[in-house]
Amino acid sequence: MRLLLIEDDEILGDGIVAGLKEFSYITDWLRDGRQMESAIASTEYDAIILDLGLPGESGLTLLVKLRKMGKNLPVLILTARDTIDDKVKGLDLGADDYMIKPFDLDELAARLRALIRRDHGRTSPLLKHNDLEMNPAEHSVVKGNTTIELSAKEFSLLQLLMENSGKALSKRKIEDNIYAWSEEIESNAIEVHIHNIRKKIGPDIIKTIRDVGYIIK
Amino acid sequence: MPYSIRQRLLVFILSLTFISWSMIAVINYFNARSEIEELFDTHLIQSAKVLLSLVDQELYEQDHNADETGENVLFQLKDVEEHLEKHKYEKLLAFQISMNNAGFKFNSAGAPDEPLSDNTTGLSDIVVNGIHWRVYTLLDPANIIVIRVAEPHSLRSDLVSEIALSLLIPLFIGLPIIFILIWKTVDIIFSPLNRIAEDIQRRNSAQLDPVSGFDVPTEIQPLINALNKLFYRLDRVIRNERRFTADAAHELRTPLAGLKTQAQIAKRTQDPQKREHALQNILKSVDRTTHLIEQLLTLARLEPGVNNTNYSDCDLTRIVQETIADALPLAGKKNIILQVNEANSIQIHANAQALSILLRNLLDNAIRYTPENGRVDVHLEDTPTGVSLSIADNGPGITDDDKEYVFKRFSRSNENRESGSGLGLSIVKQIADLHHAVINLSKSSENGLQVDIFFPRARQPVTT
Repeated sequence: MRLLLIEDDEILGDGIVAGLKEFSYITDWLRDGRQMESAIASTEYDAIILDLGLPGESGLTLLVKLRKMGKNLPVLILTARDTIDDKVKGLDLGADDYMIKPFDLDELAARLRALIRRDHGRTSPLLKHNDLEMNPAEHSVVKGNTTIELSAKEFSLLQLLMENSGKALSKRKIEDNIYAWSEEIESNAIEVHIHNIRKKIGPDIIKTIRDVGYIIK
Repeated sequence: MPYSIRQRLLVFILSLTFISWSMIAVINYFNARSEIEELFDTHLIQSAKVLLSLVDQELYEQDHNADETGENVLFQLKDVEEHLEKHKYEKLLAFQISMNNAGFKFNSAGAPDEPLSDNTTGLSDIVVNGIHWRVYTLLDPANIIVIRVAEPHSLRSDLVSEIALSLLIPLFIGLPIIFILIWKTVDIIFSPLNRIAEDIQRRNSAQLDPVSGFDVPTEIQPLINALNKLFYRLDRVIRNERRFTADAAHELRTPLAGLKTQAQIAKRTQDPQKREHALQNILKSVDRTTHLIEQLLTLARLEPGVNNTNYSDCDLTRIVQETIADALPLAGKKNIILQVNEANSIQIHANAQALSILLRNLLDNAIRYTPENGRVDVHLEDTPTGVSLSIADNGPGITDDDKEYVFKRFSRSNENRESGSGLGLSIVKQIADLHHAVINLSKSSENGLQVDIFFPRARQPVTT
């Protein structure tokens, strides 16, 4: 899952990026809204976390801009203002959820999961494929009756494929989704991850489509 | 000592009315009495004259018939006496007639036996047997016939009493009516005051809308105006305060959110490096929040209306030198050269503590935004019109857009990521305003920021 965070506070931004990493979210962090448009144009994000009190253009202005661009991805607003007016305004302008500072990291992660799940058209919190079951909230994968241990990147990759079950995903698309801008990617990183996952869940679930990418179906 | 205008007015008006009415009554009484005296005396005199002419004629006619003289005169006098009895006031009229040469003597029914006066013409008073008489004595030209017409004084004093009573009755009936009317009138006149008092009394501390000046006497208008101006100022201060409190509370939420998130990471992560990083961030965040709170308190103390009128003649050069000395360790960390041009004392009438806060904030900003190995120059100049203070750095400077709002509270420059409270320049502005100083932001000679503050000499600092 790849997220875009727009937050001007250094320590809070750092905390959100590091904290969400613990929940296997890959977060790109912008300190203000100036690069928002280019970031959204170049990368497919699963959700945006938007602070309202930003220098320059305010979060609400950015939200309006985003919706005008025709982008429907979920937006979660972070705000220091807690009056009903502020909340209503944010939601009316196209936000999907809001959290008031200071917030709980677990709750932020949970809300993001729910937002993304709904955005992907699912209502169940569990991802299933035959006897393979993934619980993103608990960060756990079970096949039959055995629990499978996956690394953070492996988990993200498997989750991505399960979320997009039936669709072939290119290597590039997968890279975009599980690596932040700041992370270095080895050229064969995805192949290595797929290899490791197949070793843990069995070789048949993830199929390789030559010259296209990978699919679960 | 508080007192009631209404009560004073009532007491004054009522006592003045009473006194003037009483005086009028007394004057009327004395006037009436003297008029009555005069009138009655005239009557006495006339009666005496009539009697004299009557007696004189009879005596003249009967001059040759001496025997009959006495009887005829007597008969005539009885007639007169009867005639006199017809009038109630004249009933008590008494007279004595005597003749010096002939021993003739006549006393009317009411008259005492002894003569009521000596034999000189004129008015006189006498008390006989407890009765106070007013007497007019008239002598004929030959000094033979003496006529004394007398009247008891009680007659006149009865009349005077009656007149006095007729004067007092309206006084006692009219005065209470007038008192009540005056009372009511004063009440009506004072009713707008009561209305205003009630209006103000009904208010709670949040109701600061102006008091209606409609239907208010012009004498009260200045009071209402002053009150409304005070309400307006108070309202502005309270609004400001409320907005500031809200802003401050919200401003504290972001560092708290950072603290909480970092603390959760430190608690959750297995990676000792990540934990160390999070703990470092927590410490940094606590320092920053502490700084924010200190700045908030400073700003609160500089609010108009707070007791910040501690002005004295102080030496600006010394304040600058002291503040620079305090800032040197911070500048040293980034290897920044920090210096001031002036060593001579420059006198300025100011709040020394506020000035050093202003300088500290400007120096903090300059050092924060100046890159390592940079420089910050403080320039002081004493001119005839005032003192100019400028602080120039070779940091990134600020854009023209930023100049517009850097003085607003909780604003942070677009261009930098340095962690400030967003209050530093608000504090600077507030202190400059208190000293009627003018702030100007411009590009320094090394493309950094230059802040010029001019303290004019002519004007006295604001005392709020």
